[in-house]
Amino acid sequence: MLRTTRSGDECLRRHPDRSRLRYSYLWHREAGKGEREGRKERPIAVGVRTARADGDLVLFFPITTKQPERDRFAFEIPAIEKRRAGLGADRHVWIVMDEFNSDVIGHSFYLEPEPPIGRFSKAFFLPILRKLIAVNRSPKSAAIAETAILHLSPLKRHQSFRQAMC
Amino acid sequence: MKGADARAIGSIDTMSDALFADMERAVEQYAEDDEVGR
Repeated sequence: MLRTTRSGDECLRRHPDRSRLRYSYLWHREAGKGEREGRKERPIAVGVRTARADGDLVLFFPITTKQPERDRFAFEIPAIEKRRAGLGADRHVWIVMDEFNSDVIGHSFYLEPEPPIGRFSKAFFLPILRKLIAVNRSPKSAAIAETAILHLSPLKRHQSFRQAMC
Repeated sequence: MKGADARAIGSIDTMSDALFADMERAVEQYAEDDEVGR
């Protein structure tokens, strides 16, 4: 694997919060079995980037076409956001927010010096990040149990978001 | 010389308080940022 080059770093600096990249994501369940490498490159969302003295830390959240189990903290990506993110419009796609890979810009073995292949809108991604914060503030098991995967239409899903945020 | 793998695997249940605080700050800043030009 290549280390991230300066050009890759610059791409992330321009699009720090909602970019979609490809990354050899290692699932939490696979890491728990002792696996050290992601089985394939998959789309991931750049969720959060925080400045660190030895290189900025970035959290990546996985995007999958496999429907997550209902107790996962995951959101189906609506059609318009799939287009923005460069995802195929003909398949159901979810972003999973209850696990992540973190990596360090400039020291990663996995980040490639490629530009992002799309971006989510802030209107879509910010409520998800806020919900993640709210869930983490709450007693976790109860909060996650309340947050079943939403399989509704985009309009109804956003209504559910607003209700959840109130 | 190649350094150590910096990647870590985490979950919402195991996120440290420090990382959570960093994430909160980043999300707040993201919320305040202007969409134009991003």
